[in-house]
Formats: sequence, structure tokens, C-alpha cells
Amino acid sequence: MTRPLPTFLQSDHLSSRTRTALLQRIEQEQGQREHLSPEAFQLLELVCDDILPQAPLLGDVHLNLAVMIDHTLAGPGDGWRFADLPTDLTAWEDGLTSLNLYTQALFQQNYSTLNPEQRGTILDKAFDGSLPDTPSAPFSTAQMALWSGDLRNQIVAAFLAHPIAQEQLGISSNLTGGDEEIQGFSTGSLTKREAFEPKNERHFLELS
Amino acid sequence: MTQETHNDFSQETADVVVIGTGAGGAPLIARLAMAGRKVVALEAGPSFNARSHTPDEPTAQELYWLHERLSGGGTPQAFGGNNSGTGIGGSLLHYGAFLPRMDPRDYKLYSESGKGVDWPFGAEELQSYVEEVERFIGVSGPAHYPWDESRHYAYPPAAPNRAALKMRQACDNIGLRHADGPLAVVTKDRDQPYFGRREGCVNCGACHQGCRNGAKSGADNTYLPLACAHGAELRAGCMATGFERDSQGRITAVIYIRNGREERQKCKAVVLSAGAVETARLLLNNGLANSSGQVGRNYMTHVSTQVWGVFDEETRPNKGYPSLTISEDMLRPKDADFAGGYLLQSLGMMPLTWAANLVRADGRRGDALSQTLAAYNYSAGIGMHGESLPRDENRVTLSDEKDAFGLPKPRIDHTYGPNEEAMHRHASRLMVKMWESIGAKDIRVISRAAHMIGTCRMGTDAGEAVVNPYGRSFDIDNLWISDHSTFPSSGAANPALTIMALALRTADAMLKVV
Repeated sequence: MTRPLPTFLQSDHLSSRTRTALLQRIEQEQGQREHLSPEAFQLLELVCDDILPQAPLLGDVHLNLAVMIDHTLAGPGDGWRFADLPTDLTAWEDGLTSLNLYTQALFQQNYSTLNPEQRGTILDKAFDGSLPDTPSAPFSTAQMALWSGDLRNQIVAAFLAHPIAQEQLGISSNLTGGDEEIQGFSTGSLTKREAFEPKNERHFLELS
Repeated sequence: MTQETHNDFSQETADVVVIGTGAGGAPLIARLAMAGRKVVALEAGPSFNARSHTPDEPTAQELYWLHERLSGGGTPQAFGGNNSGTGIGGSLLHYGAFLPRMDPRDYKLYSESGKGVDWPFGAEELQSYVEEVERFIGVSGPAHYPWDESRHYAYPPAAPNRAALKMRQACDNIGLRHADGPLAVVTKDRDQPYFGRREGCVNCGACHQGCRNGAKSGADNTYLPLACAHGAELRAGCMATGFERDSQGRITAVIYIRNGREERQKCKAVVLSAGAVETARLLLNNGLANSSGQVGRNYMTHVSTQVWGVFDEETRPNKGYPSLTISEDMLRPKDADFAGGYLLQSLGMMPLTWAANLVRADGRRGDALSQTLAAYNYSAGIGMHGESLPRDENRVTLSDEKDAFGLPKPRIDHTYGPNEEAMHRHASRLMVKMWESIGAKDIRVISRAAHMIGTCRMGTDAGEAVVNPYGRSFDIDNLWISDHSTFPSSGAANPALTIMALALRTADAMLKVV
């Protein structure tokens, strides 16, 4: 599938440092798993799509958020973690392993074979801490609730950090100014789009 | 452009070593240097070039304090972007620059309500320092401030974005006064002494990712150039780890790690300006200044609930100064079932920060989450900052885990008490009502805490406080603290202005003895 570069990457409202960071992210997304185990990574790919379906937002394009998250897990992190969770990479390995074990306890099958409604049930119960106790799982139900917040945060962060998502959602947050001139946004247009900002290609979806 | 340091005091005995170069350190460093003191400032982070800051949120994390903290308790606080920074200029590199003054009633909360504690002095004691800071760094604000007619701001207000306009309308609908908030942002070009030209704000919206054109009044473009011009030495990349002391227990040198090697700087006095977590951690790890047992205790935040909604027209939340509209009408609500009060502010936001707050607080997933993200450009919020009472269980301690320096990682326990819960409920009701009044759809409440305050309380009783009302340790007379860790109570205002004012006051006190 050909994926043209988002046009805003050529904008003179983008600094070269920001452009470089965004181009590196495009490359990163096309990379390979490096840190998580193959089993955990496969499960993460499924979970990413269940938490955040991309088709309504990107159409035919599908971003490999699992790879982006996998690469982040070896980085410096963001300076904190929940005291009740282990360090990041371990937490993700344990969280994903636990997700499968809780699934087996509840539905007697693996996460990958569940129907969408069952997957939703597991993800919701994990998030609100209401999974039934399953001593074989590395994470307690309380830990699953904490990790579920990290999980969702990483998924939306990876998605919104990608220039293709930014282009499709009409997000201009990186277009704060170029190298020579820091243009910002003109005072008269703070409540509407300026010509250099991407349009909302996927409109404001109807809220149910 | 000048955080250039010309002096090298590494082979001398400095009059003062300051640990940290943010809001607590920078004004004090400048004040002491101007009075002729040999000052060395140790900064754990690097020296950034402002023009190289980037609005790309993952990359902008370089401005955060990234040495891992463990967050525990019943309402564990999310660290990262909303509190500690790193680099020459400290957290002011990424602060929001919303610069309200602390309300005079907040200094006397215990006298007023029987809850919390009083400060050892009132607002009038800090008034001249507050005004001095505002004058020196450059602050914009309205011509008439509804809650204080005597107040004047040097620069006209920033341009309103959609969120600011929405909040004005909502305030009008339900009968709240509102104004353009005081911002540490210059809205016209400014010639900053010893720094040079700072460009007026261009509405880029990336205050939290680092201001690229100098419009935001940080330490890097105000007090630190002033300090360097008067001979202070700023030493970047230096992580303070310990102290040498003489037989009387006075500190004679600060030990720090630079490029993986331990170095020491001899000194006559030390100021800790490393923030509520790192200041306490340094003292706890070295077993210093804690005869009161209060180091690390009374950790406070601000109740910082947000309410978001979706509108029919585009809001483009990343554009313009993020949180322009303010209301101080809730500083003492008539129907309050809690002590203290809160400020309201409009909220635009950069996309990753916005989404992180959302998904941590809200269980939506699947198509509902996709729909929500699609509505980023139609979203606007209101937020609050409210008093958080000191509680026994809220504190900074040392964990069993070691960091890259071999130091114990700090653990921060944080649990809302009944006062914070009541304030959260009150503010949520009000903000939802405000957003309903202007037709917002998909209104959602996000419970969260922000900022870090307390852990080395100031007071008049050596048995109950770590430092005296000027920031001087009761236990070690050449050790001072200048940051938000000395705040006895949180107040409602964003802490930066009060920290800077206190820093100048502490510097004046030091000049009498150092």
C-alpha cells in the first residue's frame, strides 16, 4: 500500500527539528518488534485495534501502534510509574500475559479467539478493576486497572503522535513555526482553520 | 542571549551553592549575585536552546524530570508533564505560565476554617516581592482585574482562542465574573535586561512544550541572564547527591555527579531549590535537617478536575494561549462544603496531553474512542485549581529501588481526603452546568491532581517545621530551602509566582548573614 507523506511535513510552519522527529516516527512505525515477547506483542496488536479502531479515522491506512509502543518501552519513559506496577517493560509483559489468563478464566479461551463483545467485556473489566480474582495471573485486578490506564494512554499517544493521524484529523499542533520565522497562529484565526493547517479529513463523527 | 557563564568557581569556596535553576532557584541566584556573592548553581539537566524546543509532544518530554518516581496512594498522581522539569530554567521551561496571585485568604486558611494551616505571614508580606517579580519577568493581563481593582499588568492580554470565548459565554450564562487571566507571557516585543529581545506571543499554543520565541517569561530568559551578568556560575548536567559537613554539622561542600564522575563544590551556604520531591529526597537520603520528622510530609497538589465537551463549530484546541479565561469567583463559594476554594480557567490543549487525560479518566474504547479523537478539533474544556489540605498519609519517602545514580527512587503517596473530594464534586457540578449552558455535547468529567507542593514546611516551631519563615533550616544554619516545598498550604493559585516571590524574600534574608 502506498502511503504518501502528509503534505504538512513540507510546510514552512514546521521546524526542521520537528520535521525530523515526525519522519523518524514514520520510519519507527514501519519497524519491527524489539522488546516484547512475540506472544505479548501479538496480543498487543489485537488490543490496540480493540481499544482504538483506526478505520473510522484513517480509512485504508493502518498504523502499527504496537511497534511504536514496543519501541517506547525501552526509552526513558515519562519520569514516573505507578508504585504498584513493576518497571515498564516488565509491566507490559505481565499486563498482556495477565490479560490472557483473565480471559481464560472468564471465557475458557484465549483473547484472540473471543468475539468483539467478549473482548470488550474483558477490557472494560480490566479498566474498572472488576475482573474476577485469578491467582495464576501476574497482575492483581487492581494492578490490571492501573496498567489499563497506561495501556490506553500509550495507544492514543502513539496514534496521535503519528503525522498520518495528525493529517487525517486536521491537527496542526506541530505547525507552530519554522526555523527562521516562528509564525505561530494569527490572532484573527484562532477560532478557525488557517490555509496552512490540515483539514479535518474525517469529519467530526456523529456522536451516538 | 546569555545564560553564558563566565566564571568558574570550581576551585574556590563559593559563598552559596544553589541546587536547581527553576522558579525557586533563579530569582535567588540573581539576587545573591547582584549583591556580589559568589554563587554556583547546579542544574541536573542540560542547557537548552529555546529556538530548538519542539511542539512534538513525545520529543518535548526532554523538558520533564525523567528520573523515575513511584506514584502510590489512593489517588496516585500522574507525573511527567505537569510538574517537575529539568534543564537550565527548571520547570519554568514547560510551565503553563498562568500567573494568578495567591489569594490573601489562602494564607490564613486555618484561622478562617479550622482546616489546614496558616502561613507564618500574610499576603501583605509578599506583596512587594510579587509585584517585583511581575515587573521584572513581564506579565500580561486585563486592564481591570475584577477581583482586585488595584492591580495593573504591563502587557495587554493574549488573544482569546475558542475555549476562552466559550468559557466567557458560559460564565455570563450562569452569572460568574470572568477576565483574561494574568499570564507570564509578553504580548509585545520586550527588551529583557541582560538577555535581549523577547518576541511577543504568536499564539502557537505550545507553552508546555517550551516557548521558542521568548514570549513566555521563564527563568532562562529573565533571572538567569541577570544572574550570569552579575557573575553567577550556572553548571548544567550536575546531579547533586550529598554534602560534606564540618564538626558542627554545617555544610562545607556539595557533592554532585557530572558526566558519571563525582565532584564537589566547596561552599559557605547551600540552597535547595529542587522541588517538592527532589528537595525532600536529597534531605531524606542524606539524613539531614529532619529533627522535626517533617521532611517529606504534607505533600500537597491542586485539585485539578477538568470538564470537556464537544461543540458544533471548530475549536482547534492547540491554537492560542491554552488557558486564557479566568474566574476567581469560586475562591470562597457561598455553598461550599469544603475549606478553601478554587480558580477556574478555560482549557485548550495539545492533542496527546488531551487524550492522555481523557483515557486515564474515562472508560471509553472502541468506536466511541475513535469518535472522541475525531472530535479533537471540536473540543474545549474548563479546568480548576483548588486547595488541597495537608494529610498524614500524603508524603514523599524513599523507595527500595535505586536509580541510575544509585540513589533510592522517591515514592510519592497521594490520596484525596474528604475536603478534596467535596471540592471536586462542587467544581464538577459547576463546570458541567457551565458547559451545558452553552450547548456542549458529550460532556465528561476528568478527575486529576496537578502541581507539587509541601514536604519541607516552613513555620515558627522547630518541632513542627523544617525551615523557618525565611526558608532557613532549623537544624543546619547554613542550609536554606527556596521552592514550593516550604509552602505550609497549597492555596488555589498556580504556584510559580509565589515560589519566585518567596525566593527573593529568602535571598534578602540570606544577604544579612551570608
